[in-house]
Amino acid sequence: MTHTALENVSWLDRLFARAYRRIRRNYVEIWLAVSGLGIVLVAWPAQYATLLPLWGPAEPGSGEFWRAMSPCLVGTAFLMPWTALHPFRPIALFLRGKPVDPAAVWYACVRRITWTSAACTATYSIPCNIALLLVVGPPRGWDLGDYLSHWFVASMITVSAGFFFVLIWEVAFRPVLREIEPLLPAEFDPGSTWLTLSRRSALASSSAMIYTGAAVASLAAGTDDTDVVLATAVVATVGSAATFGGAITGLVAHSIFRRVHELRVALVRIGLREPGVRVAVRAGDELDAAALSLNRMAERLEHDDATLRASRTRLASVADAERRRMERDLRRRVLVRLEQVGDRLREVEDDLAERPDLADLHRLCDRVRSSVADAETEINRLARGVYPAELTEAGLGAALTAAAERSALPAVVDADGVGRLDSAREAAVYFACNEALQNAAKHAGEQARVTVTLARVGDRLTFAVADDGQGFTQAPVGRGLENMRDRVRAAGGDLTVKSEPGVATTVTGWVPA
Amino acid sequence: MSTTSASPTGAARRVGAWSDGLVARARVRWGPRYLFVLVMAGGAFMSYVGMPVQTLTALPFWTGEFAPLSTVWMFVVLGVAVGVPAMVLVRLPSYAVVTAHLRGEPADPVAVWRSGVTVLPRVAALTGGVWSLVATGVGLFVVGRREEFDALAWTGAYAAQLLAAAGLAAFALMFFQLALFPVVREVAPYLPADFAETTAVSGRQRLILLNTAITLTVGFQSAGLSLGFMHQGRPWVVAVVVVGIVSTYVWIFLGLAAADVTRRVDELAGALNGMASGRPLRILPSSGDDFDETARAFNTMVDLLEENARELRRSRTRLVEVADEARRRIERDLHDGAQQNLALVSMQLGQLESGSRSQPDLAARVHAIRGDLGAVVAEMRALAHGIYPAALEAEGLGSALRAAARESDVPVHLDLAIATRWPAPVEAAVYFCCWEALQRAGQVEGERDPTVTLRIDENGGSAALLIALDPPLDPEHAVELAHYVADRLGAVGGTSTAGDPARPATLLRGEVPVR
Repeated sequence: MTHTALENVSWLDRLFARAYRRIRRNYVEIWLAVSGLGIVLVAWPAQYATLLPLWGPAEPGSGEFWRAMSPCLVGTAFLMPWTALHPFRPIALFLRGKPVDPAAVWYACVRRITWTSAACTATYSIPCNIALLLVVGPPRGWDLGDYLSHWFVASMITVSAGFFFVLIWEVAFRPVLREIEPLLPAEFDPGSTWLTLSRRSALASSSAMIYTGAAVASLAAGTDDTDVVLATAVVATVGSAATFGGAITGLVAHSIFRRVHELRVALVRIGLREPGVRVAVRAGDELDAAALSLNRMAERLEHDDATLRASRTRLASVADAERRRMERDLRRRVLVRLEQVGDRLREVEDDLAERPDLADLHRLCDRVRSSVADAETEINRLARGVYPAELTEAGLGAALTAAAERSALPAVVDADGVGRLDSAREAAVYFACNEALQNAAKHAGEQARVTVTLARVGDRLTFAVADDGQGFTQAPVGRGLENMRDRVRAAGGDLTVKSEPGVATTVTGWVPA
Repeated sequence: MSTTSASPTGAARRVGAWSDGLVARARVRWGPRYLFVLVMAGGAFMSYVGMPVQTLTALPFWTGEFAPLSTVWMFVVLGVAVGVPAMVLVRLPSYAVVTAHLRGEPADPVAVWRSGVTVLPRVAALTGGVWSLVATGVGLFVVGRREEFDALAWTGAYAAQLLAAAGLAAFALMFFQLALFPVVREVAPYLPADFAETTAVSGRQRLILLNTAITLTVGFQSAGLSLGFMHQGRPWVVAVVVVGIVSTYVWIFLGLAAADVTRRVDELAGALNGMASGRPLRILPSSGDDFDETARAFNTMVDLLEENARELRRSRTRLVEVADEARRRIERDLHDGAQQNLALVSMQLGQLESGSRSQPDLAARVHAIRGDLGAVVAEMRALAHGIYPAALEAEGLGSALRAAARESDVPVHLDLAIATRWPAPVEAAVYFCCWEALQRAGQVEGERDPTVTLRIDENGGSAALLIALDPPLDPEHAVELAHYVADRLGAVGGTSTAGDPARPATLLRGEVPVR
């Protein structure tokens, strides 16, 4: 099963692919460490710098704040990668070359990402948020409504962060997927995913909106100065739109349209009848349903095509076998007996030759014998036209040489080292070359000479019938050419004719040897 | 964004989104006035929903507090004055052609398609632009004068409004795309076959743009709300309101946008499934985006494969015709050549025999030779008949089969209901299927003598063929015979099925078109 392995289409894919080549053995661990550091160095500061004003008066720079923050940061840096380590273990084992079930690696790369990301985000955000609430929250004397709404906003932001991890891990594990997909069993069932396309784009939009809304509201709550609010609102909104528009939505769009593109490439290749084109199933969502349909379709089309071809080949070989049988029957059942008749007539004639008194009868007998000889010649000629005995007995070279000798034009046959093929292919080549010889005799002109060349090239037997005559327009002999082509194609090969009026004609073709 | 089109052959698909059903019903309900109603509804929505929401959320952003009711009303009036004309203005260029199409008058499908698809991003941007330029500009002037904005505040506020209007433009884009979906679907079958127009904004870009626009809108609206609530000291109210706005947007956005992608994917999957179950379909272009390109790739693929399969079938049919023609020619050559020669020999031998009556010994020898020649002639006739029965061409399938049954080594039950002569290739195909069965039955060696039943029922434009061999052939021969029958009948457009091999008789059924 070949997959439509798209090359890395975007800079992001190329970036991850390069990193993958460099640090393959420890790819999973290093990526988890980078993800953890990203949370500590980027996400936490951004989140708390924007959210703290909403929460209360604790200054981000105060000692109290940092006493709560430090264990959170350390905990995050450790807890998050550690939580993801176990679910991604099959990937890590695979990358180190250990024996592992490809399906398990696939599940880890595709299906488990969603829940692992949720688990990771929960692992660090729940303890850390509780700690922060304990430190930052109480001084302000919050009521239940404050607590609940903050929890709500914080969880929403956490969901956005988690979703971001899903998207970025998907891109990061794509090089692994590309290696694992060809190893998957043919009957592999991707099942269905929670993260469908509509939920994916829903999450992308809502996480962008929630984060923006919360950040702006929070920053606005941090000051009483209208100008500052205006300025921060513009900066935060534009920044957030740029970040989310560019990052999360871009990743979502990438994850969707990249696969749409992949489907398109597969369709084009199937249209060009490239065999074995299949699309890898990715996630069990709507696009995978389309991919599975595509694979089913490709299988059906290949099957239909193969059935039709096999039927054509069978019909051609049945027709050949019939002709061989006719030829044999003509010789064995008719010709041999007719020869016996001729022999016995000769005996009678010989006897009559000694009886001068029966000269009339002798003449009559002589006439009968010559009629028998005519009949024999006629049947012989016919049998040869039905199927040349040389082809069955001595192969293509001999049969074509005999045909060339009978040809009206001088013809040279070069068939050195061709050997024998199965009878259907020999017959296809013989009749194609014979037809080409007859065409040349009809159209090439009296001065023309014909060359028939047969050769084994790799796993093919190629043949060429070339004359140096005046060529012909394709129209008057279209039917014959088409029949030649049908026969050769039925034998699994192909045939082309090059001819123009006034120019030499070449018929070339091949069959599998 | 509702952008798919149903296949004319009715691809079985889930057009699940309720929004599709809604606009489809509206299209039927309003008929020729659909576009007019659409523009009015859009204008009214912007005036009565968009404008007050924007006023409420945007004014605190400028002035630091919620707007007094009189200001909100002023904006609603402005919205009505500007929103509806703005809608009419931006839709005007394509109004004539779409209306003509809606009235059932001849309209260029490409022009209708363009106004429903290609120009939509521009229309949406124009709508958002005109809206913010006029309505917000005038409003700002009123508010700004009251609050005595300086130039910087003016510019900043206006720029912020322009950015927020991006959300409006995104909404307009989705709205028009959804609303014009039925129209686009109506004209799609009439688009030229090589139609390959694309929008300026690809599916990927659209997703990014829409999300960015909505983020901008949400950001500015929550800033406005925060400012409005600032003096009330209840930040959690802000949080809840933000979540409220967000969920509203999310649901509107998702109802329109997410369905876009999944619907197209479903449509593609439906078409692929159709192909997989042997029903070739075409996907019509409907949005000029990435999915249209994929649809085109699909259609090209179907065309190529259908042509390929057609050519394969034609080539198979030609092969059989050529082979049958060759047999007919061989039979004719035998008849006109060798058989005439033999007839001459036979006649001359007769002369010789009668001439040698005075020599009884010689006459006996010649008589014996005549006998031998008679055997040769009979053999030749049988052979010629096996190659191509002359009766098939001259008298038709019935006579040829009756002759074959008479000459067959095995008993044959014929049950023929053939009303007319059929095309020669079909007669030949059915004849040779039966002939092949008789040949193979003759080779069966067993305790019971084999019998063959041949039944042909011509019924309207097709004929049903039944071949039964009892006792059955051995499995290998049965499969060969089944293949032969399937191939021969297939080459003339027929079908065949082989019976259960476990049954006590080899049973083959076929059906061929005979007209």
